Amino acid sequence: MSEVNGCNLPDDLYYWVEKHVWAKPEADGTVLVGMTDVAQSLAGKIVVVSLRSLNKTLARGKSAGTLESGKWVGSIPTPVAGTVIAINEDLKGKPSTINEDPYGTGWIIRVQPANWEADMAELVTGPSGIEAYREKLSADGIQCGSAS
Amino acid sequence: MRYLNLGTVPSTYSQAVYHALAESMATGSEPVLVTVSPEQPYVCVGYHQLASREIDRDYCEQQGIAVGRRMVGGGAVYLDHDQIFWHLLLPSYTGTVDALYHEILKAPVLAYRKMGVAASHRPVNDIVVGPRKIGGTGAAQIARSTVIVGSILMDFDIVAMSRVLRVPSEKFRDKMVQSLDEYMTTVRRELGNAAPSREDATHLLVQEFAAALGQDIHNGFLSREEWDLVEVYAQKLFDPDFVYQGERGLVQPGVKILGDVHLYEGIYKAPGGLIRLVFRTRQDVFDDVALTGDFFITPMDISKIERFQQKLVGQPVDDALVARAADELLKQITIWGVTAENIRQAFLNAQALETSTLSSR
Repeated sequence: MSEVNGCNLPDDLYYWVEKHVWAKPEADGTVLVGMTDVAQSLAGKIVVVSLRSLNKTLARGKSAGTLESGKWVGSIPTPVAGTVIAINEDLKGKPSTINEDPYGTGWIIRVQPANWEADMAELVTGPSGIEAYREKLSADGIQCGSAS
Repeated sequence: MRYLNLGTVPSTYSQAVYHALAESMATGSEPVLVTVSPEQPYVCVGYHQLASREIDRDYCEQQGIAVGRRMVGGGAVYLDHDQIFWHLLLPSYTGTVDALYHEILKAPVLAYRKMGVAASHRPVNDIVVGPRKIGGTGAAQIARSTVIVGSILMDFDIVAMSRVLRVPSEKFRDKMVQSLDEYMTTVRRELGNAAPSREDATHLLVQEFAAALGQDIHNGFLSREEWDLVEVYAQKLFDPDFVYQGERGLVQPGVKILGDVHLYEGIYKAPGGLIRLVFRTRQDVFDDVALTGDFFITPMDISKIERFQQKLVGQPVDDALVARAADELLKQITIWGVTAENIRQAFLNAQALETSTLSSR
Protein backbone atom coordinates (compact mmCIF):
# COMPACT_ATOMS: atom_id res chain seq x y z
CA MET A 1 0.00 0.00 0.00
CA SER A 2 1.35 3.43 -0.94
CA GLU A 3 0.26 6.70 0.57
CA VAL A 4 0.16 9.73 -1.70
CA ASN A 5 -1.08 13.11 -0.42
CA GLY A 6 -2.78 11.27 2.41
CA CYS A 7 -4.58 8.93 -0.01
CA ASN A 8 -4.13 5.17 0.27
CA LEU A 9 -3.28 3.46 -3.03
CA PRO A 10 -2.67 -0.29 -3.07
CA ASP A 11 0.22 -1.11 -5.43
CA ASP A 12 -1.40 -4.14 -7.03
CA LEU A 13 -4.58 -2.50 -8.40
CA TYR A 14 -5.12 -1.12 -11.89
CA TYR A 15 -6.15 2.53 -11.82
CA TRP A 16 -8.01 4.87 -14.14
CA VAL A 17 -6.62 7.96 -12.47
CA GLU A 18 -8.79 10.56 -14.22
CA LYS A 19 -11.91 8.79 -13.00
CA HIS A 20 -10.61 7.66 -9.59
CA VAL A 21 -11.68 4.05 -10.05
CA TRP A 22 -9.78 0.79 -9.72
CA ALA A 23 -9.89 -2.67 -11.26
CA LYS A 24 -8.56 -5.89 -9.80
CA PRO A 25 -8.21 -8.97 -12.02
CA GLU A 26 -8.93 -12.17 -10.13
CA ALA A 27 -7.82 -15.75 -10.64
CA ASP A 28 -11.17 -16.80 -12.12
CA GLY A 29 -10.85 -14.28 -14.94
CA THR A 30 -13.35 -11.82 -13.50
CA VAL A 31 -12.46 -8.24 -12.56
CA LEU A 32 -13.51 -6.47 -9.39
CA VAL A 33 -14.25 -2.73 -9.71
CA GLY A 34 -14.33 -0.05 -7.05
CA MET A 35 -13.71 3.60 -6.25
CA THR A 36 -10.39 4.80 -4.93
CA ASP A 37 -9.69 6.37 -1.58
CA VAL A 38 -9.30 9.60 -3.56
CA ALA A 39 -12.85 9.36 -4.93
CA GLN A 40 -14.45 8.69 -1.56
CA SER A 41 -12.44 11.50 -0.01
CA LEU A 42 -13.50 14.00 -2.69
CA ALA A 43 -17.15 13.00 -2.40
CA GLY A 44 -17.40 12.96 1.40
CA LYS A 45 -19.66 10.61 3.34
CA ILE A 46 -21.67 8.53 0.91
CA VAL A 47 -25.36 8.18 1.79
CA VAL A 48 -26.77 6.32 -1.21
CA VAL A 49 -25.38 3.90 -3.77
CA SER A 50 -27.56 2.75 -6.66
CA LEU A 51 -25.88 0.05 -8.75
CA ARG A 52 -26.59 -1.20 -12.27
CA SER A 53 -28.45 -4.43 -12.68
CA LEU A 54 -26.86 -7.82 -12.82
CA ASN A 55 -26.06 -9.18 -16.27
CA LYS A 56 -25.95 -5.70 -17.75
CA THR A 57 -23.28 -5.26 -20.40
CA LEU A 58 -21.27 -2.11 -19.92
CA ALA A 59 -18.81 -0.41 -22.25
CA ARG A 60 -15.65 0.96 -20.64
CA GLY A 61 -16.43 4.36 -19.07
CA LYS A 62 -20.15 3.68 -18.79
CA SER A 63 -21.80 4.09 -15.42
CA ALA A 64 -21.62 1.13 -13.06
CA GLY A 65 -23.98 3.01 -10.77
CA THR A 66 -24.62 6.34 -9.12
CA LEU A 67 -23.86 7.56 -5.66
CA GLU A 68 -24.90 10.43 -3.47
CA SER A 69 -22.83 11.92 -0.74
CA GLY A 70 -24.27 14.51 1.61
CA LYS A 71 -24.06 17.22 -1.02
CA TRP A 72 -23.18 15.67 -4.33
CA VAL A 73 -24.40 13.14 -6.92
CA GLY A 74 -22.16 11.40 -9.42
CA SER A 75 -21.77 8.24 -11.44
CA ILE A 76 -19.15 5.53 -11.13
CA PRO A 77 -17.59 4.83 -14.53
CA THR A 78 -16.36 1.29 -15.02
CA PRO A 79 -12.69 0.98 -16.03
CA VAL A 80 -13.40 -2.35 -17.67
CA ALA A 81 -15.94 -3.34 -20.30
CA GLY A 82 -17.98 -6.47 -19.86
CA THR A 83 -20.95 -8.04 -18.16
CA VAL A 84 -21.87 -7.25 -14.57
CA ILE A 85 -21.88 -10.65 -12.85
CA ALA A 86 -22.13 -9.42 -9.26
CA ILE A 87 -22.99 -6.21 -7.47
CA ASN A 88 -22.13 -5.38 -3.90
CA GLU A 89 -25.56 -5.70 -2.29
CA ASP A 90 -24.17 -4.75 1.12
CA LEU A 91 -23.65 -1.17 -0.06
CA LYS A 92 -27.39 -0.62 -0.21
CA GLY A 93 -27.75 -0.97 3.53
CA LYS A 94 -24.46 0.71 4.36
CA PRO A 95 -23.20 2.94 1.55
CA SER A 96 -20.54 4.50 3.76
CA THR A 97 -18.63 1.21 3.51
CA ILE A 98 -17.09 2.82 0.42
CA ASN A 99 -15.68 5.56 2.67
CA GLU A 100 -14.41 3.11 5.24
CA ASP A 101 -12.99 0.34 3.06
CA PRO A 102 -12.87 1.40 -0.62
CA TYR A 103 -10.56 -1.45 -1.66
CA GLY A 104 -12.15 -4.24 0.37
CA THR A 105 -15.75 -4.54 1.51
CA GLY A 106 -16.57 -1.32 -0.37
CA TRP A 107 -16.09 -2.91 -3.82
CA ILE A 108 -18.76 -1.89 -6.38
CA ILE A 109 -19.28 -4.52 -9.09
CA ARG A 110 -17.69 -7.69 -10.44
CA VAL A 111 -17.33 -7.83 -14.21
CA GLN A 112 -16.79 -10.67 -16.68
CA PRO A 113 -14.53 -8.65 -18.94
CA ALA A 114 -15.09 -8.48 -22.68
CA ASN A 115 -11.43 -7.80 -23.36
CA TRP A 116 -9.37 -7.35 -20.22
CA GLU A 117 -6.07 -7.23 -22.14
CA ALA A 118 -7.27 -4.18 -24.08
CA ASP A 119 -8.72 -2.42 -21.03
CA MET A 120 -5.69 -3.22 -18.90
CA ALA A 121 -3.49 -1.40 -21.40
CA GLU A 122 -5.47 1.78 -20.71
CA LEU A 123 -4.95 1.54 -16.94
CA VAL A 124 -1.88 2.06 -14.75
CA THR A 125 -0.53 -0.17 -12.00
CA GLY A 126 2.49 -0.91 -9.83
CA PRO A 127 5.14 1.72 -9.02
CA SER A 128 4.60 3.54 -12.32
CA GLY A 129 0.86 3.53 -11.69
CA ILE A 130 1.29 5.04 -8.24
CA GLU A 131 3.60 7.64 -9.75
CA ALA A 132 1.00 8.51 -12.40
CA TYR A 133 -1.59 8.89 -9.66
CA ARG A 134 0.82 11.06 -7.66
CA GLU A 135 1.20 13.39 -10.65
CA LYS A 136 -2.58 13.63 -11.03
CA LEU A 137 -3.11 14.40 -7.34
CA SER A 138 -0.38 17.03 -7.35
CA ALA A 139 -1.64 18.63 -10.57
CA ASP A 140 -5.16 18.89 -9.13
CA GLY A 141 -4.01 19.80 -5.63
CA ILE A 142 -5.91 16.89 -4.11
CA GLN A 143 -5.29 15.86 -0.52
CA CYS A 144 -7.22 13.06 1.12
CA GLY A 145 -8.73 13.51 4.56
CA SER A 146 -11.13 11.44 6.55
CA ALA A 147 -14.68 11.54 5.22
CA SER A 148 -16.95 13.60 7.38
CA MET B 1 -18.08 32.67 -19.17
CA ARG B 2 -21.19 32.16 -21.24
CA TYR B 3 -24.32 33.56 -19.57
CA LEU B 4 -27.83 32.54 -20.49
CA ASN B 5 -30.57 34.72 -19.03
CA LEU B 6 -33.62 32.63 -19.79
CA GLY B 7 -36.07 34.73 -17.77
CA THR B 8 -39.28 32.77 -17.23
CA VAL B 9 -39.81 29.44 -18.99
CA PRO B 10 -42.23 26.48 -18.70
CA SER B 11 -41.62 24.65 -15.42
CA THR B 12 -40.19 21.54 -16.98
CA TYR B 13 -37.65 23.57 -18.97
CA SER B 14 -36.42 25.35 -15.84
CA GLN B 15 -35.15 22.00 -14.56
CA ALA B 16 -34.24 20.40 -17.88
CA VAL B 17 -31.98 23.20 -19.08
CA TYR B 18 -28.89 22.45 -17.02
CA HIS B 19 -29.14 18.72 -17.68
CA ALA B 20 -29.19 19.44 -21.41
CA LEU B 21 -26.31 21.90 -21.22
CA ALA B 22 -24.24 19.48 -19.12
CA GLU B 23 -24.74 16.73 -21.64
CA SER B 24 -23.86 18.89 -24.61
CA MET B 25 -20.88 20.59 -22.95
CA ALA B 26 -17.64 19.73 -24.69
CA THR B 27 -14.37 19.14 -22.87
CA GLY B 28 -12.40 22.36 -22.65
CA SER B 29 -15.37 24.64 -23.24
CA GLU B 30 -15.98 27.69 -21.07
CA PRO B 31 -18.17 27.65 -17.94
CA VAL B 32 -21.85 28.39 -18.42
CA LEU B 33 -24.13 30.30 -16.06
CA VAL B 34 -27.91 30.17 -16.38
CA THR B 35 -30.56 32.17 -14.53
CA VAL B 36 -34.16 31.13 -14.94
CA SER B 37 -37.52 30.92 -13.17
CA PRO B 38 -40.47 28.60 -13.79
CA GLU B 39 -43.78 29.86 -15.10
CA GLN B 40 -45.82 27.54 -12.85
CA PRO B 41 -45.11 26.00 -9.44
CA TYR B 42 -43.79 22.43 -9.46
CA VAL B 43 -42.16 19.91 -7.19
CA CYS B 44 -38.76 18.38 -7.70
CA VAL B 45 -37.35 15.35 -5.89
CA GLY B 46 -33.68 14.49 -5.43
CA TYR B 47 -32.05 11.96 -7.73
CA HIS B 48 -32.07 9.07 -5.27
CA GLN B 49 -35.31 9.79 -3.44
CA LEU B 50 -38.36 7.56 -3.42
CA ALA B 51 -40.84 10.04 -4.85
CA SER B 52 -43.85 8.01 -3.78
CA ARG B 53 -42.66 8.25 -0.20
CA GLU B 54 -41.93 11.96 -0.28
CA ILE B 55 -44.68 13.45 -2.42
CA ASP B 56 -48.46 13.57 -2.06
CA ARG B 57 -48.93 12.43 -5.63
CA ASP B 58 -52.74 12.54 -5.56
CA TYR B 59 -52.76 16.11 -4.33
CA CYS B 60 -50.20 17.22 -6.91
CA GLU B 61 -52.18 15.57 -9.70
CA GLN B 62 -55.43 17.13 -8.51
CA GLN B 63 -53.84 20.57 -8.37
CA GLY B 64 -52.00 20.16 -11.67
CA ILE B 65 -48.63 20.59 -9.97
CA ALA B 66 -45.96 18.87 -12.06
CA VAL B 67 -43.49 16.58 -10.29
CA GLY B 68 -40.00 16.05 -11.65
CA ARG B 69 -36.82 14.29 -10.62
CA ARG B 70 -33.49 16.09 -10.93
CA MET B 71 -30.13 14.42 -11.40
CA VAL B 72 -28.87 16.33 -8.38
CA GLY B 73 -29.21 15.03 -4.84
CA GLY B 74 -31.00 16.23 -1.75
CA GLY B 75 -34.65 16.37 -0.81
CA ALA B 76 -38.00 17.25 -2.33
CA VAL B 77 -38.53 20.95 -2.95
CA TYR B 78 -41.41 23.17 -3.99
CA LEU B 79 -40.32 25.56 -6.73
CA ASP B 80 -42.10 28.56 -8.17
CA HIS B 81 -41.67 31.90 -9.87
CA ASP B 82 -40.55 33.62 -6.66
CA GLN B 83 -37.25 31.75 -6.91
CA ILE B 84 -34.50 32.77 -9.30
CA PHE B 85 -32.66 29.56 -10.10
CA TRP B 86 -28.99 29.71 -10.98
CA HIS B 87 -27.13 26.87 -12.65
CA LEU B 88 -23.38 26.92 -13.03
CA LEU B 89 -21.70 24.35 -15.27
CA LEU B 90 -17.97 23.79 -15.02
CA PRO B 91 -16.30 21.65 -17.67
CA SER B 92 -13.32 20.56 -15.59
CA TYR B 93 -13.57 20.70 -11.84
CA THR B 94 -11.23 18.38 -9.93
CA GLY B 95 -11.39 19.44 -6.27
CA THR B 96 -13.44 18.27 -3.34
CA VAL B 97 -17.15 18.86 -3.01
CA ASP B 98 -16.57 21.02 0.07
CA ALA B 99 -14.09 23.22 -1.80
CA LEU B 100 -16.48 23.56 -4.73
CA TYR B 101 -19.21 24.96 -2.50
CA HIS B 102 -16.72 27.15 -0.69
CA GLU B 103 -15.64 28.81 -3.93
CA ILE B 104 -18.94 29.02 -5.74
CA LEU B 105 -21.28 30.02 -2.93
CA LYS B 106 -19.32 33.23 -2.46
CA ALA B 107 -21.29 34.57 -5.42
CA PRO B 108 -24.84 34.16 -4.12
CA VAL B 109 -23.74 35.14 -0.60
CA LEU B 110 -22.21 38.42 -1.83
CA ALA B 111 -25.22 39.06 -4.08
CA TYR B 112 -27.52 38.72 -1.08
CA ARG B 113 -25.31 41.06 0.91
CA LYS B 114 -25.41 43.67 -1.84
CA MET B 115 -29.19 43.48 -1.69
CA GLY B 116 -28.92 44.19 2.04
CA VAL B 117 -29.48 40.63 3.30
CA ALA B 118 -26.88 39.54 5.87
CA ALA B 119 -26.27 36.14 4.29
CA SER B 120 -23.36 33.82 4.97
CA HIS B 121 -22.21 30.40 3.81
CA ARG B 122 -22.61 27.63 6.33
CA PRO B 123 -20.65 24.57 5.19
CA VAL B 124 -21.20 22.31 3.49
CA ASN B 125 -23.80 23.93 1.28
CA ASP B 126 -26.29 26.05 3.17
CA ILE B 127 -26.71 29.79 2.72
CA VAL B 128 -28.10 31.24 5.92
CA VAL B 129 -29.18 34.50 7.47
CA GLY B 130 -28.45 33.95 11.15
CA PRO B 131 -30.25 30.72 12.11
CA ARG B 132 -32.41 30.71 8.97
CA LYS B 133 -31.72 29.12 5.62
CA ILE B 134 -32.25 31.16 2.45
CA GLY B 135 -32.50 29.01 -0.67
CA GLY B 136 -30.97 25.63 -1.35
CA THR B 137 -27.97 24.45 -3.32
CA GLY B 138 -26.78 21.15 -4.78
CA ALA B 139 -24.08 19.70 -6.98
CA ALA B 140 -23.64 16.78 -9.32
CA GLN B 141 -21.48 15.32 -12.00
CA ILE B 142 -23.64 15.15 -15.13
CA ALA B 143 -21.92 13.76 -18.22
CA ARG B 144 -18.52 15.47 -18.21
CA SER B 145 -19.67 18.61 -16.39
CA THR B 146 -19.68 19.52 -12.75
CA VAL B 147 -22.99 21.21 -12.13
CA ILE B 148 -23.80 23.35 -9.13
CA VAL B 149 -27.28 24.75 -8.74
CA GLY B 150 -29.11 27.00 -6.33
CA SER B 151 -31.68 29.75 -6.08
CA ILE B 152 -32.16 33.28 -4.91
CA LEU B 153 -35.21 33.04 -2.73
CA MET B 154 -37.19 36.19 -3.33
CA ASP B 155 -40.25 34.78 -1.55
CA PHE B 156 -41.47 31.35 -0.48
CA ASP B 157 -44.88 29.75 -0.06
CA ILE B 158 -44.38 27.61 3.04
CA VAL B 159 -47.95 26.34 3.15
CA ALA B 160 -47.80 25.22 -0.49
CA MET B 161 -44.51 23.40 0.24
CA SER B 162 -45.99 21.62 3.25
CA ARG B 163 -49.02 20.61 1.21
CA VAL B 164 -47.23 18.86 -1.66
CA LEU B 165 -45.17 16.69 0.67
CA ARG B 166 -46.43 13.40 2.00
CA VAL B 167 -46.65 13.77 5.76
CA PRO B 168 -47.85 11.31 8.39
CA SER B 169 -50.45 13.57 10.00
CA GLU B 170 -51.95 17.05 10.01
CA LYS B 171 -50.22 17.64 13.33
CA PHE B 172 -46.94 16.92 11.59
CA ARG B 173 -47.87 19.27 8.74
CA ASP B 174 -48.61 22.06 11.23
CA LYS B 175 -45.22 21.49 12.83
CA MET B 176 -43.59 21.54 9.42
CA VAL B 177 -45.15 24.91 8.55
CA GLN B 178 -44.08 26.25 11.93
CA SER B 179 -40.56 24.84 11.50
CA LEU B 180 -40.11 26.22 7.99
CA ASP B 181 -41.34 29.58 9.22
CA GLU B 182 -38.83 29.44 12.05
CA TYR B 183 -35.88 28.17 10.04
CA MET B 184 -36.31 29.68 6.59
CA THR B 185 -36.20 33.20 5.32
CA THR B 186 -36.46 35.05 2.02
CA VAL B 187 -35.37 38.34 0.49
CA ARG B 188 -38.90 39.66 0.97
CA ARG B 189 -38.98 38.66 4.62
CA GLU B 190 -35.60 40.28 5.29
CA LEU B 191 -36.12 43.47 3.32
CA GLY B 192 -39.86 44.00 2.97
CA ASN B 193 -40.59 46.77 0.49
CA ALA B 194 -36.88 47.47 0.14
CA ALA B 195 -36.45 44.13 -1.68
CA PRO B 196 -34.87 44.56 -5.11
CA SER B 197 -36.70 43.66 -8.30
CA ARG B 198 -36.07 40.24 -9.81
CA GLU B 199 -34.08 41.90 -12.57
CA ASP B 200 -31.84 43.75 -10.12
CA ALA B 201 -31.34 40.67 -7.97
CA THR B 202 -30.42 38.63 -11.05
CA HIS B 203 -28.00 41.31 -12.22
CA LEU B 204 -26.24 41.38 -8.84
CA LEU B 205 -25.96 37.61 -8.83
CA VAL B 206 -24.45 37.44 -12.29
CA GLN B 207 -21.92 40.14 -11.43
CA GLU B 208 -20.86 38.22 -8.34
CA PHE B 209 -20.45 34.98 -10.30
CA ALA B 210 -18.20 36.80 -12.75
CA ALA B 211 -16.11 38.11 -9.85
CA ALA B 212 -16.00 34.78 -7.99
CA LEU B 213 -14.80 32.95 -11.09
CA GLY B 214 -12.58 35.79 -12.29
CA GLN B 215 -14.26 35.64 -15.68
CA ASP B 216 -15.85 38.10 -18.05
CA ILE B 217 -19.48 37.46 -18.81
CA HIS B 218 -20.84 37.38 -22.32
CA ASN B 219 -24.51 36.93 -23.02
CA GLY B 220 -25.47 33.96 -25.11
CA PHE B 221 -28.52 32.11 -26.36
CA LEU B 222 -29.43 28.46 -26.42
CA SER B 223 -28.71 26.98 -29.81
CA ARG B 224 -31.35 25.04 -31.73
CA GLU B 225 -29.60 21.78 -30.78
CA GLU B 226 -29.50 22.77 -27.11
CA TRP B 227 -33.22 23.61 -27.14
CA ASP B 228 -33.91 20.20 -28.66
CA LEU B 229 -32.00 18.55 -25.84
CA VAL B 230 -33.85 20.69 -23.25
CA GLU B 231 -37.07 19.32 -24.71
CA VAL B 232 -35.77 15.76 -24.40
CA TYR B 233 -34.84 16.28 -20.73
CA ALA B 234 -38.11 18.09 -19.98
CA GLN B 235 -39.93 14.95 -21.12
CA LYS B 236 -37.60 12.57 -19.31
CA LEU B 237 -37.29 14.29 -15.93
CA PHE B 238 -41.06 14.74 -15.61
CA ASP B 239 -42.06 11.35 -17.02
CA PRO B 240 -43.97 9.56 -14.20
CA ASP B 241 -42.04 6.39 -15.01
CA PHE B 242 -38.81 8.22 -14.25
CA VAL B 243 -40.16 10.17 -11.26
CA TYR B 244 -41.92 7.27 -9.55
CA GLN B 245 -39.61 4.51 -10.68
CA GLY B 246 -39.15 1.59 -8.32
CA GLU B 247 -36.46 1.37 -5.81
CA ARG B 248 -34.03 4.14 -5.21
CA GLY B 249 -32.02 4.54 -2.12
CA LEU B 250 -32.37 7.76 -0.19
CA VAL B 251 -34.79 6.81 2.55
CA GLN B 252 -34.26 8.53 5.84
CA PRO B 253 -36.57 8.86 8.80
CA GLY B 254 -38.15 12.24 9.42
CA VAL B 255 -38.06 15.33 7.25
CA LYS B 256 -35.06 17.60 6.97
CA ILE B 257 -35.93 21.23 7.56
CA LEU B 258 -32.39 22.44 7.04
CA GLY B 259 -28.82 21.23 7.65
CA ASP B 260 -29.06 19.81 11.13
CA VAL B 261 -32.75 20.41 11.85
CA HIS B 262 -35.12 17.46 11.37
CA LEU B 263 -38.78 16.84 12.08
CA TYR B 264 -40.06 13.41 13.15
CA GLU B 265 -43.28 11.70 14.07
CA GLY B 266 -43.54 8.47 15.99
CA ILE B 267 -46.75 6.55 16.56
CA TYR B 268 -47.44 3.83 19.09
CA LYS B 269 -50.73 2.08 19.58
CA ALA B 270 -50.98 1.60 23.33
CA PRO B 271 -53.88 -0.25 25.00
CA GLY B 272 -55.23 3.15 26.11
CA GLY B 273 -55.09 4.74 22.66
CA LEU B 274 -52.81 6.06 19.98
CA ILE B 275 -49.72 7.98 21.11
CA ARG B 276 -48.30 10.49 18.66
CA LEU B 277 -44.95 12.06 19.46
CA VAL B 278 -43.96 14.82 17.02
CA PHE B 279 -40.55 16.30 17.67
CA ARG B 280 -37.95 18.49 16.03
CA THR B 281 -34.25 17.99 16.61
CA ARG B 282 -31.43 20.42 16.09
CA GLN B 283 -27.86 19.16 16.29
CA ASP B 284 -29.19 15.99 17.92
CA VAL B 285 -30.90 17.93 20.69
CA PHE B 286 -34.69 18.17 21.13
CA ASP B 287 -35.77 21.52 19.72
CA ASP B 288 -39.54 21.12 19.96
CA VAL B 289 -41.72 18.29 21.27
CA ALA B 290 -45.45 17.63 21.05
CA LEU B 291 -47.14 14.65 22.70
CA THR B 292 -50.67 14.09 21.46
CA GLY B 293 -53.00 11.19 20.80
CA ASP B 294 -56.46 9.88 21.50
CA PHE B 295 -55.81 8.88 25.10
CA PHE B 296 -57.49 10.13 28.30
CA ILE B 297 -55.68 11.77 31.18
CA THR B 298 -56.67 12.32 34.82
CA PRO B 299 -56.59 14.78 36.31
CA MET B 300 -57.35 16.71 33.15
CA ASP B 301 -54.27 18.92 33.50
CA ILE B 302 -52.67 19.73 30.14
CA SER B 303 -49.94 21.75 31.84
CA LYS B 304 -48.33 18.46 32.95
CA ILE B 305 -48.07 17.35 29.32
CA GLU B 306 -46.64 20.75 28.45
CA ARG B 307 -44.09 20.39 31.21
CA PHE B 308 -43.09 16.96 29.84
CA GLN B 309 -42.54 18.56 26.43
CA GLN B 310 -40.55 21.47 27.81
CA LYS B 311 -38.42 19.15 29.92
CA LEU B 312 -37.15 17.41 26.81
CA VAL B 313 -36.36 20.57 24.87
CA GLY B 314 -32.63 21.23 25.04
CA GLN B 315 -31.90 17.61 26.03
CA PRO B 316 -30.00 15.13 23.83
CA VAL B 317 -32.15 12.98 21.54
CA ASP B 318 -32.06 9.81 23.61
CA ASP B 319 -34.71 7.21 24.40
CA ALA B 320 -33.64 6.83 28.04
CA LEU B 321 -34.27 10.54 28.62
CA VAL B 322 -37.69 10.23 26.98
CA ALA B 323 -38.52 7.27 29.21
CA ARG B 324 -37.40 9.16 32.32
CA ALA B 325 -39.45 12.25 31.43
CA ALA B 326 -42.45 10.02 30.66
CA ASP B 327 -42.01 8.30 33.99
CA GLU B 328 -42.12 11.62 35.81
CA LEU B 329 -45.17 12.66 33.80
CA LEU B 330 -47.02 9.48 34.76
CA LYS B 331 -46.29 10.08 38.42
CA GLN B 332 -48.23 13.35 38.16
CA ILE B 333 -51.11 12.27 35.96
CA THR B 334 -52.62 9.01 34.83
CA ILE B 335 -52.90 8.33 31.12
CA TRP B 336 -55.26 5.36 30.97
CA GLY B 337 -53.66 2.35 29.30
CA VAL B 338 -50.39 4.15 28.53
CA THR B 339 -47.02 3.46 30.13
CA ALA B 340 -43.70 5.31 30.02
CA GLU B 341 -42.39 2.44 27.92
CA ASN B 342 -45.18 3.06 25.37
CA ILE B 343 -44.11 6.69 25.05
CA ARG B 344 -40.48 5.61 24.67
CA GLN B 345 -41.61 3.21 21.93
CA ALA B 346 -43.36 6.04 20.05
CA PHE B 347 -40.08 7.93 20.15
CA LEU B 348 -38.13 4.92 18.86
CA ASN B 349 -40.66 4.36 16.08
CA ALA B 350 -40.09 7.90 14.81
CA GLN B 351 -36.48 7.10 14.11
CA ALA B 352 -36.96 3.61 12.71
CA LEU B 353 -37.64 3.39 9.00
CA GLU B 354 -39.54 0.13 9.04
CA THR B 355 -42.14 1.52 11.41
CA SER B 356 -42.24 4.94 9.84
CA THR B 357 -45.74 6.11 9.16
CA LEU B 358 -44.59 7.25 5.73
CA SER B 359 -45.24 4.18 3.67
CA SER B 360 -44.97 3.83 -0.08
CA ARG B 361 -48.03 4.49 -2.18
